[in-house]
Amino acid sequence: MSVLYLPHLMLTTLSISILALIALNIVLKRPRHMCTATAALFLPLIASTLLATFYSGGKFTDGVYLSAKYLGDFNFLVDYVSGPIALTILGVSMVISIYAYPYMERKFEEEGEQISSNMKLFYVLYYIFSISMYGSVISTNFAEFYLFLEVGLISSFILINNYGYGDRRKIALLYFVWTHIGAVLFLVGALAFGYYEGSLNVFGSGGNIVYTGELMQSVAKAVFALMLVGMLVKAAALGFHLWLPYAHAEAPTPISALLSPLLIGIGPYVIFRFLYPLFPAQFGDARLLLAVWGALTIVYGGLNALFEKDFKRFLAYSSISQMGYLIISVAAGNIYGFIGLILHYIAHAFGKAILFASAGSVIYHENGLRDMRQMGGMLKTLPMTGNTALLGFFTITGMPPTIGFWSELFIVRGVVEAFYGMGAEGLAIIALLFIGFSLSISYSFYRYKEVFQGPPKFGARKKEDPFIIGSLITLAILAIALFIVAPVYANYLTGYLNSLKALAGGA
Amino acid sequence: MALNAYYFLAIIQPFIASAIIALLPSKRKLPGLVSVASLFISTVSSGLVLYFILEKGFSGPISFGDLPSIGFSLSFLYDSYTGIMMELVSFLSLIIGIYSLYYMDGDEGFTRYFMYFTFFVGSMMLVVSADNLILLFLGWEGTGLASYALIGHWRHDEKERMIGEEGRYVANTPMFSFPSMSGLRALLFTRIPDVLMLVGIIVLYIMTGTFSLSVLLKSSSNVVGILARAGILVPVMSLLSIGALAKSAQFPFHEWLVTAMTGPTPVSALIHAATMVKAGVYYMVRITPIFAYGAKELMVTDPILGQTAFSQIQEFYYVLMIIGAITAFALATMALVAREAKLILAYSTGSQLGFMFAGIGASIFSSHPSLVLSFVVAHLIAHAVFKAGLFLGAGIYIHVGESRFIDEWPNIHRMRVTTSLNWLLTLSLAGLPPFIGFWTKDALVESYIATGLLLPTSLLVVTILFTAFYSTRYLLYTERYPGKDGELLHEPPAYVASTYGLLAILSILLGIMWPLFGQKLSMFVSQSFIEVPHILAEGETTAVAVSLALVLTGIALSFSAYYLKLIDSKSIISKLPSLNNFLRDRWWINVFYYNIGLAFLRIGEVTYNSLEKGLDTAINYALPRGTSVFSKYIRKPLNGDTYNYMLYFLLSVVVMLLILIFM
Repeated sequence: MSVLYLPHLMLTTLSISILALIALNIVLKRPRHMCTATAALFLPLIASTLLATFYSGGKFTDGVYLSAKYLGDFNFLVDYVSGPIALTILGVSMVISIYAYPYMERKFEEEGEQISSNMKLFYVLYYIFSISMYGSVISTNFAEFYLFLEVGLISSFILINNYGYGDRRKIALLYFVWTHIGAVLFLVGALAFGYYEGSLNVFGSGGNIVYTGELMQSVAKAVFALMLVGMLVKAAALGFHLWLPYAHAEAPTPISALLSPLLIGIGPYVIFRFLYPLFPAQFGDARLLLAVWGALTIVYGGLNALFEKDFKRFLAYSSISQMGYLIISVAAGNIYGFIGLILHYIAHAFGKAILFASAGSVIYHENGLRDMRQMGGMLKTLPMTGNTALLGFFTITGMPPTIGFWSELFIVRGVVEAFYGMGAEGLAIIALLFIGFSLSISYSFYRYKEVFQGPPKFGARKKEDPFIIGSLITLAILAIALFIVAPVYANYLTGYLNSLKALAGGA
Repeated sequence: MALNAYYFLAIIQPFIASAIIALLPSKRKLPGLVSVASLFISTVSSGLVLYFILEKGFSGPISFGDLPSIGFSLSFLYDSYTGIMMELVSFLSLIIGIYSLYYMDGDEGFTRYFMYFTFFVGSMMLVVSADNLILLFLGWEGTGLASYALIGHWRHDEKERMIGEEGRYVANTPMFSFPSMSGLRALLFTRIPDVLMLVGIIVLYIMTGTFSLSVLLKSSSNVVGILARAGILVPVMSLLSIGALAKSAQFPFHEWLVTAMTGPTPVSALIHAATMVKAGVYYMVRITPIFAYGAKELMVTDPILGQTAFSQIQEFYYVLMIIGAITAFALATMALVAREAKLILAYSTGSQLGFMFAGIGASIFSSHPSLVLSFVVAHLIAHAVFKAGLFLGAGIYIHVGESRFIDEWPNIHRMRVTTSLNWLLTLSLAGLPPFIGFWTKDALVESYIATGLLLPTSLLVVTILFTAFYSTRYLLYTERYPGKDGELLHEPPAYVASTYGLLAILSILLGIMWPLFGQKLSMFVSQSFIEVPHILAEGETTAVAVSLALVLTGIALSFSAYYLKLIDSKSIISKLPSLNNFLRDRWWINVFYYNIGLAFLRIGEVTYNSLEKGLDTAINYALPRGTSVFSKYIRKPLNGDTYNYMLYFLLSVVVMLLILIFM
């Protein structure tokens, strides 16, 4: 299948990296070195994922590393779909891990905590959290995916619980319960699926989707519904979003920057990667509902973002709204919608990471300031933060020269192609999407004006921390560089998705 | 191939220069010089492209690369229209770039200014040259972005950067604007309709299978046929044009252009007068032949469908013409009473754009649409030249007069060089022969009259009178009502004066030469629009007479009011306070938009406070609270007392028996 023959490349890198981090955690004395080690340990993973994605003809199966009756085979599949998503997770995590150091150091100092031990624990948890997201997107098996997801959930739960803001114990629990409900619904669906199918595999050893044609209609329907709802809770779709503003706003900012774009985006990604090919008929039935749901999520999140006054909660509502875009693009159910989903996952990852990091920069430099009503003219005090935040807003609102331009293009294209011939309902969806775009543009630049432009409310220019600024600029440059890469990638992806469709018998 | 290299240098190179500028150390004028060098290269390369087109004729698009699976290609049009627009854009950018070196000297955002400026030029070049509609849309968004950033260039809203009269309100709506607000308005006004434009482009793609303008043009009858058969001709045309209407500040989307004047004056000259606002005109002129000729060809092959399609297209373009006429008229009336130099010019820009849109609308009613479109292009060029020059001159006046209000300026006629040059530009705007403005406007007026549509034509003809009046009033005002006086007025350095000097000379030179080359220009441009007409003028001598008479009347009125002092304009205004306020407050249209904005904020507030807070309280607080209360009470009877438990047991048995008996 694959041109590249390196069995267990991913598994080896993954386990060695984690072991190395734990070993370094024991050996290294200074917390700053721990930061360097964590950031550096993302590199082997990035290298091997790059290799697996782009030097393997587009489809790289790692080799079964765990196999059991009923459970199926645990494997990793890196292809044109999961590869770029995985790379995004790793890239953003790596940059943010550098950003996290000065931020967390200041936070520990302020709370009078012991820096060295806390920092070590923080970085280990951070790494595990990030790697578990990484593992989940390249999983080939429901149980495997669930395990990675839960490890991610638990590590992020601990991170919020230990290092968050405000009423962090309660909020961590809130986050845990909500998303765990989602995960459990998914698990129940997966177990039912496994009971009837005989294994929990989604992809076979060759990296092809397993055939589920003989699954009973009623069973398939129930399994699909459970998994869908589970993933919508994860993705904070309208109605299931109530945990998100708390968790993402009160998590320590570097964790918000991972939670918000990377983790919740996995929900729509899984709908596309697992549910769409396994249950084409059920997916087809649910498409319209899903599209309306996504569109309403965009509008609802946008309206709340327009009013919210806390910088981080504002960004959290914006994330809810952005998840609506992912849901509606997967609901489009055509190749362009799927490309839109993948590109927007990437665009939102970079854009929102920049925005959370800049919100964190304001918190860092202005003594914990989060209330946007007290901000104003921040470009004078924190010019680099302001400039990169603008690029972050460009990225999430689809302006060139950022990757967001392409993701907006493909989302609109997918949705219009899917729904414009559908009569009144289709037009309503397109109209809602249009309102959603308008709201996204409005809240983004309205808030940018309120926070960063206008008469300065603070004194002279501050010296911005080089680590914080450095990571912001790196993310911004990546978002711009991806603008050039994205169309070429989308071109390949079209071919790849078409070939998958052909393999699945035109389903 | 050499041609590819010229296209690269003309279009892509400014983007690279912009990235380099962003990385440059902001040492004195270095960023500005890099930018000017880049614009110079772009101008020369565009000139070479134009030369090749003139020499060798033109052919299919120039392609740099193709991504067929997603329908995107980096391909550029290679025809007369694009060649002329490329040269116009790059040349004006170069002139204004040189002027900016002087104007922006010492500004804290010098590097940022030139970064966005150069980025803008690249984007604008993309718009006027792209063959692929997605590529065009990319440039389109890029110009919007640069415009947003440059309108809000002075990011801290210092008082001297505002536009409008401070403290002037209509109902709850402020009629003045600060840079950050203006930037936001411009972005919302242009970006939101762009989403609809994108939808239009995609629907067009779904129906026809191509994003390529040249392919669409070639298969125009097919395109119109497909759309008409599906019954979506008018919706698609509307979607495709709404972005252009907003970008070109047509009524009722013109509000953003007025407040956009908070940007630095050279930005107003380049983006909000000469180029970006013309993007809408460029694009409409580009797509109009598809519909105009498509329907005509369709009538030959399929008369019934062709006839319906054609009448739908005519109705649509009639609306377009009305919109143009209203814009031209409304903004000209606002210009009559405006006090701010840049506002007068902004109103005038919008008004002239209205003339162009009305021309586009009129083209469908002509037997030779391509001819009328070529007049629109001619007026676009003429207007770009003289309006850019006027803005550059206004920048000098504002600098010297230390005020943005013309009634606070000293008598500007004491600046002999600058004011004489500005007179040349103003008379071109007023439409006096032999300036270029006269010829192009006259050609358009002929086309309006030829349509026989009374309402738009009469509005447009009246506007000619207004235009002549407000444009001459702009320069003459200080002759009668000089503000502070006595100081010495310094002319700017020679290289600065030469920028608008060059444009002034161009406006008269082109005017003098027009009778010689006007027809050739029309022929040359209309080659890009499918049909090359053989009749080169529609020959309406009455039109010339009428418009000339109106121009002269307007100029005479303004001379007698502000030079000969025969009419006391101030007393006339004081007798009509409500009309004066209505015009000065921009027909109160801003009130509408401002309250829409407030309404959305209010909807957000209500959603947040009632819906979101309600859901949040119910599920995150009330539900856990409820369960804890429930468990508290359910625990009470379960206290481990054996007798109680036996009682519960017996009770349950009884209940079960009862159920069994009665079921």
